[in-house]
Amino acid sequence: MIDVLLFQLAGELYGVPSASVREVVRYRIYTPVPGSPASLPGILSQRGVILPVVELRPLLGLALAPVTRAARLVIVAHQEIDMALLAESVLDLVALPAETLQPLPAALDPARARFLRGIARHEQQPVMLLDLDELIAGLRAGA
Amino acid sequence: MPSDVLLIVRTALCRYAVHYADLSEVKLIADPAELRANGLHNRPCLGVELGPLLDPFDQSTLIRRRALIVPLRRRYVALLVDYVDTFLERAASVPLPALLRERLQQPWAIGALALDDELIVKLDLRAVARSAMLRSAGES
Repeated sequence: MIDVLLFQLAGELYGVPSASVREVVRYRIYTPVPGSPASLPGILSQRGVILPVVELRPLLGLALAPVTRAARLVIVAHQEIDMALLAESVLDLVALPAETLQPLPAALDPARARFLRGIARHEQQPVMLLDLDELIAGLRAGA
Repeated sequence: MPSDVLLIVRTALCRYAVHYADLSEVKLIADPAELRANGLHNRPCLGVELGPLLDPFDQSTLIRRRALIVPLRRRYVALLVDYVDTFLERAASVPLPALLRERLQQPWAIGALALDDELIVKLDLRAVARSAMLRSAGES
């Protein structure tokens, strides 16, 4: 089984490994940092720790949408890096059957595919699984 | 004044922390054009709005401005803000997260501090002033 936290971006379902998720909190306005890239627009303090806010939509080629009451911040710790992923909404922690994991379609934009491990299914809906190693590498490299 | 004093300054949209030691003075000015026309202490002075320099949406509507005067080699740069909120002695600030620090397109933000339940970005005002001067030179 693949344990993931399901969240939504631009109407699509994404999964982040639940082992890396520290907590999920309501969206709150973060502090913008001058000169920061669109994928790392600012910082916030969570339990006394200053975290970079990660905006996944520009990385995944998705359109930005206004923040709604459903928006959440997914606090993730991976490779000794703590960060807050902006999610339009968070659905649930689920265990996806590993056998439903499929490779990414060849037609998928490589810039987007880079950050995904594969596609699984949850209640007949495709779930794109984030590759946190690649996400951090991409953020560091200036994706 | 001790060298570790921070000023909390306010633009139309944001508050920033700056090192008082980076400034030669803070002036209240009624008309920024005067600075440009007359200079300061017999040196040319470039007046630049701090807010829009850091964020194009951060536009002030105030006429009276506080000028943070940064001395550079042959001139001054006056970074204009709405208010100077307060002075802080020995305020504890922390570096920005490494992931963000490595990706900054300009070396302006150097840390952050928590004040009144708000996270405030600490600026290297000399770096900001140098950028403003380079930008001005590029435009002229």
